Amino acid sequence: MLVGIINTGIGNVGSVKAALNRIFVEDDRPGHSGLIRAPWCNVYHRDDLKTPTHFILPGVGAYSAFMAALVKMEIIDDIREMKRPFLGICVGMQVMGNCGYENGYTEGLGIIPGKVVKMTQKPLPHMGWNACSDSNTYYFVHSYSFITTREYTGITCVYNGGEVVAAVKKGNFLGSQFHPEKSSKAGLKFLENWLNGSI
Amino acid sequence: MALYKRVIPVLLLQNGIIVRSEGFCRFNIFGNPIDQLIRLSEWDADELVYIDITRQLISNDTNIYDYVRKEHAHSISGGFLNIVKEIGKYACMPITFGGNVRTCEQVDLLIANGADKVLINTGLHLNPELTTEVAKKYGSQAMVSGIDIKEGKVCYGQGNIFSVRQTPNEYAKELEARGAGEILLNSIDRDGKGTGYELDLYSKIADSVSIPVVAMGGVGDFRQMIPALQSNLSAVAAGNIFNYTELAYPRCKKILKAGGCHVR
Repeated sequence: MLVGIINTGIGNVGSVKAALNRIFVEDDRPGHSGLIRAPWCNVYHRDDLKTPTHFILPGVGAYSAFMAALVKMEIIDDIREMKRPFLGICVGMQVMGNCGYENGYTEGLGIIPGKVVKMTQKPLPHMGWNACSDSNTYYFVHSYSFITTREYTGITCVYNGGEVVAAVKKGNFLGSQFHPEKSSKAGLKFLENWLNGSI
Repeated sequence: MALYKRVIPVLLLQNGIIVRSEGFCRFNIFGNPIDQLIRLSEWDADELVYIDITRQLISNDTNIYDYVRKEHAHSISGGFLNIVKEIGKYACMPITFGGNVRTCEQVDLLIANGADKVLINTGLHLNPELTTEVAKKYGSQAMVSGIDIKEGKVCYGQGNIFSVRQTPNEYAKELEARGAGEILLNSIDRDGKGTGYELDLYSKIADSVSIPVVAMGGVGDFRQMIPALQSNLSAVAAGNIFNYTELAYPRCKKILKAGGCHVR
């Protein structure tokens, strides 16, 4: 196993790495056994996409800036055609949709049908711990949310009377609006479940 | 099911050591920042705020952050950013760093070293454009504006010797308009006194904006947090009190839940 962390320059990769360092997985290297900390590596470039078995795309900030950074890395087509498990966090999840309306219209990756629009609840950002439909509490921090159909909605939460999509899934693509790397034990369990294939 | 209100321990760092504060001028030493963090992580704190209140000297001496005793199990040296980096390794909840932040370059370094949010107070008075700059680059959720209030007036600067003409409400509105994602209110009068928050003042400020507002300053008894959490404030923060007693944070949550507050 090797988790490739896609480094757009706009994302808290440090926190993701620290979280992976806290998760123990089976050592599946030939000639080894036992548990090791989840191995990860940086992905800066197309070539770095070859070896990892899993990918995480961490993101913070604005949709448009994030998409621009991805375009610059020239890995958009590779991501669209990715067959290995791929996890997008926060903006990383939002760009998997068709488009986003933050600071004007931006086209997304188009992997999971849906769009990203500004939330109507107050106050914004939706910031803090919220209990989700999977009986866990995760940390959210966002002002825009992903709108999609039930088919792709994994878990939801409620903020001031309005439902918020917390996680989406389509095949090997998983997205979490919340930050599992900042959600204490529940967040680590989420990452662990994703790594061993139970999500 | 709804968003939980947050309870946030605030740790004051002076010369690299955690201290307690009273009236923003009397400081006593508590201890090593990493030990405190490990304890707070075990207690599963909602979030943490670290504020560097070191008096900035004219020289660029990074050793002013190395006052932690060398025989401590976790001894960090090499300046403030190393402290940030170490904390980033152990923290599994969101961390806000602030104190002496004046430029976007400093923000870049803090975030690159693991801070999720950055807290700026005097820096925004000296350069209001900084709010927008940080919000544009990292998103407004990363930009926490601190407002310190003394006798109803917004104060800033080392020693809090400067005050502004705008009322706290007006200033909060301006920060929101410039892109701040969260406001942390502190009362210099109540700091370290243990007499509770200036809730009327804070509540009115929270009414005038639509971004989360966090109360801080003056908690002497956890029950004082209950009316704050039941008001329109999004979160409560406290410094000194979490450092004084055994199992302070879990006890705090227990008391708040018993008081009917919606906390995690």
